[in-house]
Amino acid sequence: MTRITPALRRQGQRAIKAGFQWVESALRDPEAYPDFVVVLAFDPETLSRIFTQERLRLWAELHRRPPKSLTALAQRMGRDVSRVRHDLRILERAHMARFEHDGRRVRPVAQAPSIVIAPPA
Amino acid sequence: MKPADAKGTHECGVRTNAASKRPLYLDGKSPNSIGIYKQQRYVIPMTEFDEVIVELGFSAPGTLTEASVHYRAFLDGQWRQVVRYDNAHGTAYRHQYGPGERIRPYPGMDATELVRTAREDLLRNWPRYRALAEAAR
Repeated sequence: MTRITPALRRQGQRAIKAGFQWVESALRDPEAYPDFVVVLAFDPETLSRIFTQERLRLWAELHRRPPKSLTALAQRMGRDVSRVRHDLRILERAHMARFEHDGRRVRPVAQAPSIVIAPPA
Repeated sequence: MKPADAKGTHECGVRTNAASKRPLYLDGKSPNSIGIYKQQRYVIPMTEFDEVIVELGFSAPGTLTEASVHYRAFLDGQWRQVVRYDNAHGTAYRHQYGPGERIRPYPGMDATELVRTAREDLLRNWPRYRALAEAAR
């Protein structure tokens, strides 16, 4: 069970405030906003956890040359499959990638949301 | 996140768009969906294990007709819906999942007001909802 510490509670509240601020703006002028947006509250720890150099390279590669499988992607990147899977899981939580299952084969697919980093309040 | 299955059902029980295999909570089939010209999705990662997804459906610029707000938690290796607010069936309501799940209607509330109500409720209560979802596993 994850203990929700006061710090975690505040982190969640900051994210909700930042995210809904963008939603409020979209309510007023939907044409000015993209259709798929991930709003990240400014938090150095969270941002550095998601956006490492390796993960950004992985994301770019997913876009450039969609792989046939996770293994093929790992081989192409010259990396260990388990590390690539771990990195993709983190990108998945940021809605930047997803996995498609075809029988026993798992194929990572890039997603391309607009990513907003909301400045600190 | 698990992908949609062949029937187009996402792991959280929501119908999906078969082409994208992404959950589309606003599936264009609710009474409010007629005349929707633009849909938007906002994903708000809160912590490593919690997120809010807001989906909006506009029938005209500045006219919000459909809205859904989902608070999801990453439990037992997958994303699970904990609380959902929407007006998909013509009435605004809050649906709290899990054993003893509760549905609270908000009669007469429009989509914009529902989004703001969801924001306020989640700001105050998300840790409690999370704790209830964890205890119910």
